[in-house]
Amino acid sequence: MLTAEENEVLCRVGPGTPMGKVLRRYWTPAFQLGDLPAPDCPPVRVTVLGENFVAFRDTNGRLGFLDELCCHRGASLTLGRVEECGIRCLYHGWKYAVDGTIMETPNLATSTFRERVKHGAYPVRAAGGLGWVYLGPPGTEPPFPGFSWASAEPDELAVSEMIMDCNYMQVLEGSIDSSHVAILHLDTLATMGAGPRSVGSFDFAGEPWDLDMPVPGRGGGGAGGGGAGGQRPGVWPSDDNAPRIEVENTPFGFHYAAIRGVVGEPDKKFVRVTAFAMPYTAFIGGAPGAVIVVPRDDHTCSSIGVFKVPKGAGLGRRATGVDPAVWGPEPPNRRITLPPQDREAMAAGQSFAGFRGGNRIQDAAVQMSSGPMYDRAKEHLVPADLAIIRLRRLLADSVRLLDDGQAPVGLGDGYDFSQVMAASQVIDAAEPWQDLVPGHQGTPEPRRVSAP
Amino acid sequence: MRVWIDQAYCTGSGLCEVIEPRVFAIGDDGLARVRRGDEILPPGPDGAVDVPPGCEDEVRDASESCPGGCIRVEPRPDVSRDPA
Repeated sequence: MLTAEENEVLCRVGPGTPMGKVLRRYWTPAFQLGDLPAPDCPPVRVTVLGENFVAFRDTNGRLGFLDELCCHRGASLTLGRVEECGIRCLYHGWKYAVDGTIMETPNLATSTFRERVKHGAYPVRAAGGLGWVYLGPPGTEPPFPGFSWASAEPDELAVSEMIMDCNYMQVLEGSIDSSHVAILHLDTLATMGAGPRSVGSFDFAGEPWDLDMPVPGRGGGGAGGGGAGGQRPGVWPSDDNAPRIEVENTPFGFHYAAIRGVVGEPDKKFVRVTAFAMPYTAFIGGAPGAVIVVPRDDHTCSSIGVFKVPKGAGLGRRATGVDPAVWGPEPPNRRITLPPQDREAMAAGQSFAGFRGGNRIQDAAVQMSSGPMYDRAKEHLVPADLAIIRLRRLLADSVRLLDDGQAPVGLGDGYDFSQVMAASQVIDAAEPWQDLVPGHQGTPEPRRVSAP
Repeated sequence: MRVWIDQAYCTGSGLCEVIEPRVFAIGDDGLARVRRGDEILPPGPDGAVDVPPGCEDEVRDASESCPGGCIRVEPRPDVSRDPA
């Protein structure tokens, strides 16, 4: 549990807040490249870390990320015209280049002002279908995290952004919480024909319920070859709902392993290794990509999935498995509206959670249910929450380091970020899980920054 | 730094032992205690131990994370400084 004060430090991200200052020292994925598809296309308004910006693509295809409000009299540049290598404010026609240079001031004839004043502009990088920005002090940019999918072609990636009405930590902690997977997402595993079929005294009735659910490995002919309700133990070969968690720090953050027993094979263990790259990104074992949690403001965040898909597969109805009334990839439809919970299916044992649409809808339901900013003074952590404790430690250490004039943890200086990967595998009980993630470079003893 | 367990508030989750097994142990009664080497000490302030060097941060993590809030961390009394 955290004190109210510690919780505030962890959760508040606006300018000048301790965590806001820390998060601004990392590259932040702020918008989808697909929202700026062509030169001089309409700009987009972006809220990130409690501030508003305008993103645009100029005539030459360059990306700009500027303070939203015109530095003359504060009109929003999101209303502006994108033309001739800049964005022009509608109010008095001031025009800005992608680097914040003031190109034109039609209501001010002299040039001295334009030469001496610059509009707030921030470095932008395009990678993995996302526009990444650096909002920290000029000259402090860390190495860019070039993850394995950073150079993938746009049609090889499915980027899905779910805007959620809750503080980012509720979602971020969910991304490194293996023990909920076979419980909250029991329906998914059951539909795949895998995993445990009970949660405490709840027993799954056997028939797949949410047939539109996006699950890996399920073809068109039924539940992943295992048949309706049939077991396909290779996918999730464990009925252990209390995994042992082991965490080791790495140059980019940490790896944690969720270790479970294997049904019928006492000499084996089922290991899911999650790679957490500070401060937003979780590569989850068994998934072909990562989930990135970006704070929009203190009470809103985006859960962004970046997954490699067969070329051209995109994010069709089939791929999302989510009712468009609940969520869709189009900008106006990204904010999650939870569907009604199907109590009938729950009572009949056909569904544990009662939320159609797959894991991320179920995650959103429980994570938003804690309210806009959960008070962690009321929580009761258990050993299965060890990775969450480590995340909080790294963030708290980073706050302390920055206060001390040092860099935060996990910037990965000299590390090849393309090596960051997760794993999900059955291995011999004696085999180290670290062998599953070759770029591990971990340390069993975490780097510590002692409290005063 | 010294640490002891206020067992009235212990939930028996075992989190402390997972975080720092060199200092914490779950006893036969399912509740937490502190240890000095192989010796398991009685609960309460009389069973306080000096935290071994290198374990301070883990003990602090365990205390901050403890679901029962039962891990009492105190500054070490009578710490004399060697002027040399």
